[in-house]
Amino acid sequence: MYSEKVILLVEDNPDDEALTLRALRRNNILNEVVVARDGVEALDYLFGTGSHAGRDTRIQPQVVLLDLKLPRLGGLEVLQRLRSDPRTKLQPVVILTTSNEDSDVLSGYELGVNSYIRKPVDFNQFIDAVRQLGLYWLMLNIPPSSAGGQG
Amino acid sequence: MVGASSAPTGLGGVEFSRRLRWLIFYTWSIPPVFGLSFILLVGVLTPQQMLGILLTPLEPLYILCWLAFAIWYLPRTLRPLVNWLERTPGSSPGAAQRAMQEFPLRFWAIFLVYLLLAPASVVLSASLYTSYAASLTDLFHIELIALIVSIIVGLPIFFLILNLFGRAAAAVSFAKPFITIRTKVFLIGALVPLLIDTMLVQYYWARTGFFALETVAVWLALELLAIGGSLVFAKSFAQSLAPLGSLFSARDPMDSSNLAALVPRSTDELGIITSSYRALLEELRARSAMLELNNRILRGTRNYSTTAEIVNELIRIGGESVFGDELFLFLADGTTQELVCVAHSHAAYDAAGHFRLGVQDQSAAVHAYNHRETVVVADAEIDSRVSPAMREKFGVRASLAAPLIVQEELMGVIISICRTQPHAYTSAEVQMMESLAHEAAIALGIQRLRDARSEAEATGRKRDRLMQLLLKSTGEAIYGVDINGVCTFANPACARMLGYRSEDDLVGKVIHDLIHYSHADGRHYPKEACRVRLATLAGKAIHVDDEVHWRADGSSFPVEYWAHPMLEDGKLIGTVVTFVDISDRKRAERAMLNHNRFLRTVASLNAVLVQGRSEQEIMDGVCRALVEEGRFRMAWIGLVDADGAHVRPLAVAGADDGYLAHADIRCDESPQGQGPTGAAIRRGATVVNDDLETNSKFLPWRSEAQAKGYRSSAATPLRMQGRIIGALAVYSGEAKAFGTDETVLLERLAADLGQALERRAAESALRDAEHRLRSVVSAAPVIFFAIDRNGVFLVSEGSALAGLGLRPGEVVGRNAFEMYAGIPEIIGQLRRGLAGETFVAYSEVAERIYEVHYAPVRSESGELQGTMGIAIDDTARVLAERELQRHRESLEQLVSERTAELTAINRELEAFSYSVSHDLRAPLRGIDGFSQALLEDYGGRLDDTGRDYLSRVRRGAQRMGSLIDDLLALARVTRAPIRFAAVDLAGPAREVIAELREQQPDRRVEVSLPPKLEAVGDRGLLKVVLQNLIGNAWKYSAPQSQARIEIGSREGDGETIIFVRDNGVGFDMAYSDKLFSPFQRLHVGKEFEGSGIGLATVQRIVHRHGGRVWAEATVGEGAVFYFSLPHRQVS
Repeated sequence: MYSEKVILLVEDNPDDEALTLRALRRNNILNEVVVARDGVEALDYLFGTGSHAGRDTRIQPQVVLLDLKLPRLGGLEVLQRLRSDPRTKLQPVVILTTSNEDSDVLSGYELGVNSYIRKPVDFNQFIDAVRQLGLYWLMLNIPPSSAGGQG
Repeated sequence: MVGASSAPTGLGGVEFSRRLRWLIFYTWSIPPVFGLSFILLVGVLTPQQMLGILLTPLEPLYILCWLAFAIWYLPRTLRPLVNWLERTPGSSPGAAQRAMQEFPLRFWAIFLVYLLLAPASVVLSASLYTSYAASLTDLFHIELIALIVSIIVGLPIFFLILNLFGRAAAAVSFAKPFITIRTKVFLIGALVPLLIDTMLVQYYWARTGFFALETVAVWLALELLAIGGSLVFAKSFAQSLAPLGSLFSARDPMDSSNLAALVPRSTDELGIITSSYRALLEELRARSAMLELNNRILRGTRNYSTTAEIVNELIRIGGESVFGDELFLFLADGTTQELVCVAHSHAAYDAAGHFRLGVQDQSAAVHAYNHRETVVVADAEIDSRVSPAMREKFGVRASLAAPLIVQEELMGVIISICRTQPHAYTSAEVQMMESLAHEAAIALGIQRLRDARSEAEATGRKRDRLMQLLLKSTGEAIYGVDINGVCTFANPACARMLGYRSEDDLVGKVIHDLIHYSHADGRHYPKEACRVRLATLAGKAIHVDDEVHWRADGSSFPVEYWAHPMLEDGKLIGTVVTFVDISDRKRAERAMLNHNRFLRTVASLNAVLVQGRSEQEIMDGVCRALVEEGRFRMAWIGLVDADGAHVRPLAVAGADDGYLAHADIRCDESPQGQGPTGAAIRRGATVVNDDLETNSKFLPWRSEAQAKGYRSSAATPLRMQGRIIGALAVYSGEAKAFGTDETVLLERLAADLGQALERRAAESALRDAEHRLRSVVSAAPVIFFAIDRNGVFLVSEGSALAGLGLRPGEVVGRNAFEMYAGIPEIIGQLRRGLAGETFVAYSEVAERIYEVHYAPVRSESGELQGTMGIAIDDTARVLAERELQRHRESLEQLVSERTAELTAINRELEAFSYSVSHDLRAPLRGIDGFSQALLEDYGGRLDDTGRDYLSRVRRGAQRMGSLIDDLLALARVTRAPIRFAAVDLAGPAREVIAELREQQPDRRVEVSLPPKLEAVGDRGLLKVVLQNLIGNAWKYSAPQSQARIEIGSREGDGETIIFVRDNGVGFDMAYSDKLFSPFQRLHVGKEFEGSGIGLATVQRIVHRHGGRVWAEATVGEGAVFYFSLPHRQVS
C-alpha cells in the first residue's frame, strides 16, 4: 500500500487506539499513522500550530479518522473547524465512533463528513470495517488535488 | 527700384585715406626740400653749412617729427568722414560734415607753425653744428623763404585736398558751400601777388649782383610753378562742373545713367547745385513712378472683376513699385476685429486669409491700422512697433506700412518689409507706399461697391422670378384690387377657379361685381357691404371662410379668403386677396359631423345598455339616445302582443305627438302589418323605407307621418333568446337617411338591446330568488355573513343581528378587518376563513358569544372568493362551559407540571442512554478486541480450555453489545416523534423480507403479502414493528421444512388490523401476557437467539400509535401477531 500517505487517527481511548492500529496492521495497511489524542491536537497537526508548529502543512493526511467523544474539543467541532478553513475544507474525514445516535450521524453529515462508520463491538467485524475503510480511502478514493486549498 | 541702392560716393573711405596721406606727405616733405634748396641757392648758407645742418640730428629730426605728426593727426580728424564713406555703424553724415569743415583751419595752423618754426631749427642747428654765425637778417631771410615756399607749395596741395573732399562730398551732401568758389578765387588771387613779390626779390638780388643765368632760371622755375598752380585751379573747377556738364549732352534728363553721373564733385556752389538738381530729378522720377503705379493699378483693376484678381494684381504691381522684399495686404474683418492677411508676395489671394492679426497685437501693420497713419520702421530691431513674432517669422529688418482708407473708411493695411538689412526709407519711398495704399484702397472700395451692386441685382432678379413663379404655380387663387375695387392683377389659379379663360378677363374690372355679387342663399350682396372693400378702406387684414364666390358660368362655391392691405411707401394702394375653394373641406366637415354623431350615438347607446336598471329604462334610454344623439326625429320600440298580431309600443322618444297611439301597427298579414315594423318582425330582417312619400306600403300612415315631419324610416327586429319579440323603429326627417352605416348601427343596437333585455330578465329572476332566500335568512335566529377576499362584507343577514344592534345588510360594503381591528381573535378567524379553512370558532362581540361556522366561498371554477359564516348566539352555553373550562384548566396546570417533571426525567434518561451507547460499548470492544488479540498472538501457549474461555469472554462481550443496541433501539422508539401519514406497509414488509432472504439465503420460506397494506402511522416506526414481527416469524418458523409467513390486514371498528402469521414453533398461550415485556423470552436462548426486547419495542410503537397488539398461537402449529392502527384523519 502507499506507505507515504499519512493517516491521522483522532482517538482518546488508548484501547481503541491500540485496536485500531492493530486492525490496520492486520490488514497490511502500513501507512504512517499519526495519533492525536484530542480535538485540539488534531487541529494543531492539521494546521501546523501548537505542538505541531512548523509542520509542513502542504502534506495533509490521506484521511482523518475522527472519534466524536474527545476531551477538550469534540469531534464534531473539529470537523466544523476543518470545513470552515479553506486549507482543510476538502480534507477527507471519516467519523469512526462508537455512537450510532441519529443526531450524531445527521450532525456529522451536515458538517460535511465524508463517511460515518460505527465501531462494531466484534473485533473481527472491526477488522473487516477497517479493511474496507483502508481499501476505499487509501486506494480507491481520489483525494482533492493539492490546489484544493492546502496551500 | 526694389533692392537697396548704395550711395553714389564714387570714392571709398580707404582710397580717400590713402590719397589724403600722400597729399599730407607731400605737403610736409616738399617745402623743406624746396626751402633748403632755395636757401642754398640764394646763398644764405654755404653748401658745407647746409651739409652740416642736414647731417645734424636736429634738423632731420624736426622735419620727420612734424611729418609723422601730420600724417598721424590730420587723417585722424577726418575719421568721421572716412567712417561714413565706409558706412561704418555709428557713423553719420553730420559728423563727417563737421570734420570736413574744421579740417582747413587745422591744416593751415599746423602747416604754418611747421614752416615758421623751420627757419629757427635751421639757424639753430647751423650755429650749433657748423661754423655759421647766426644773424637776425639770416633768420628773417629764411623765414621769408619759408613763407613763400609755404604758399607756393602749400596752396596747390591744399587745392588737391579740396578736390579730394569734393569727391567725398557726394556722400555728405552739404546744405551750403563748404569752400566757396569765392574762397578759391581769393586764394588764387593771393598766390599771384606772392609770385610777383618773389619776382621782386629776384629782381633785388639781381640788382645786387646776383642777376645771372641762374636768376633767369629761378624766375623761369617760379613762372612754371605759377603755371602749374593755375593748372591745378583749372582742374579744380573742371571737377566741380563735370557733373553738371553731363546734363548738357543728355537727351533725357530722367535717364537713370544720367542720374548716376549727376554726382557732386566739389564742395562749392556747383556741388550744391548738382546735389539739388539730382534731388529734383529723383523727386521727378518718384512722382512719375507713382503716376505710373497709379496708372497700372487703374488699368489692372479695371481689367479684373473679382477681389482675388484685383488683390493679386495689387500685390504684383506693388511688389514691383514699392521698395522692399515682400509686400503684405491685410483686410479688416469687421466681425472678428482682426486684420486678415489675404495675400502677400509669395501667396495669392485667399479670402480666409493666410494668417490674422488681432487689433490689439503688437505689429507695425496694426499700428498703421489703429492710428490711420503710415508707419515707417527703419530698424525693426529697435522699433517697439514691430512684433518680435513677425520679425522672427518673416525676418523683418525694416518695414513700411500704410493704411487703406477710402472715403474715411478704413479697409485694411498694406505693408512692405525688408529682410536683408535696416533701411532708412526715403520720402519718395514712403510716398510711393502711401500712393499704393491709396490706389489699392480705391480699387478695393470700387470692387466692394461693384460686388454689392451685382449681389443686389442678382437678388432682385431672383426675387422677381420667384414672385412670378410663386404667383403662377401656387394652387391658391390670388388677385389684387386697388382702393376702388378694380382688379390690378390675378394669377392663373384665380382665373381657373373662377371659370375664366385667362387673368386678363379679370384685370381692370370691378371684381366684386364679377364674383362676389350674391350671398350663398342668393341674397344680393351690395358692393358697399363687401367685406373685402371695407377691409381695404380700413387698411386691415381679414380672414373669411363663410362666403361663396360666383363663377363665370353663374355657379357658386364656398371659399375661404384672406385679404391683406397693400402699402407702397406707407400709402394704401389696395388689397391683395388670396382664396381657396373649400367645397371639399365643407363636404369632409359634414361627413366628419355625421361620423361624430354616429360615434356619439353608439357611445350613449352603450351607456344606456350597460347602465339601464330596468327593461323599461333601457328601452326608454335607447329611444332617447337615438333621437338626441342620433338626430332622428322619432324612435320607438314595440313588442309583439300575446295575440301575435299587434305590436304594442313600449318606449318612444322624439316627435311622436300621439302618432303611435293612432298608428295601430300590426305584424300580421293585414294592411297595417305591411309597414316596415310589421315587415321586419315577420321577416326577421331590417326593413328600410327610403322615402315614405313614395312608398306605397306606407300608405296607411303617410299623411300622419308627413304631418310629424317623417321622411324615411327603418325597422329592425328585436330578438330574445333567438325569438323575435318585437321591433325597433326609427324615423328621420330626411329622405334616404338610412345608409349602410345607419342600418348596421340599428341592427347591432337591436342585437345588444335584445341581449340587455335578456340579461335584465335573468337578473330580475335572480333577484326574485335572492329576495326569497333573503327573507328566509333574515328571519332565521342566527347571523349569516359573507366577506370577499379583501374582507369586505357581501352579505349580513339574520334576525340575530339585532343582538349586535345591526340591521340586515347594514355592514355590507364595510371591511370586516377594519370593523374588528380591535378584536384579534376575530381577525385571526377571518384570516383562517379566507385561507379556505372550514372550521368552527367562537367569537365574543359586544359581550355576546357566538359559535361561528366558517366555510370557504368558491367560484364555479373552484377559485377561493371569500369566506362565509353562520354565527349562532351561544352566550349562555359558552358561559357555562367556560366555568367548566376554568376547572379543567387548573387540572391541566397540574398535569403540565407533572409533564414538565417527566420531561426532565426523560431528558436525563436520554443523556443516560446516549452515554450507555457510547461508554459501555467502548470497554466491550476492548474486551473483545484484546481477547481476540490474545487468541491470535498467544493462543499457542493456551490449552483448549483457555482458548474456550477466551471465546466465551468474546461471545459475552458481543452479546452485551447487541443487548445494548437493542436497549438503545427501544429507548429511541420511545422518544422518537411520530409523524402520522398514510402509508402502504406492503413496501416496508417487502424490504424486511428481502433483507432476511439476503442474510439467510439458504432458507426456503413461502411469504404471502398483499400488494397493498394501507394504514396511517409513522412509516419508520411501523417498519421497526414489521422487522420484529416478520423477523420473529422467520426465526421461529426455521424448524419447519415448509415455512410459511402470511402478512395481511383487515378493517376493524375504526381501526386497521394487520397481522403476521407463521407456521413456526408457536408458543403456549398461557404465557401470552409476558410476551411483550422486555427481556422476556419464551424460548431458550440457544435455540432461538434474541434479546427479548423486540416485542417490547413492537408494543411500545403500537401503543404510541394509539393501537393494540396481541397474539394467538398454538404450540407447534404457529403463531399470529396482530396489531391495530386506529383510523386517523391526515392532511
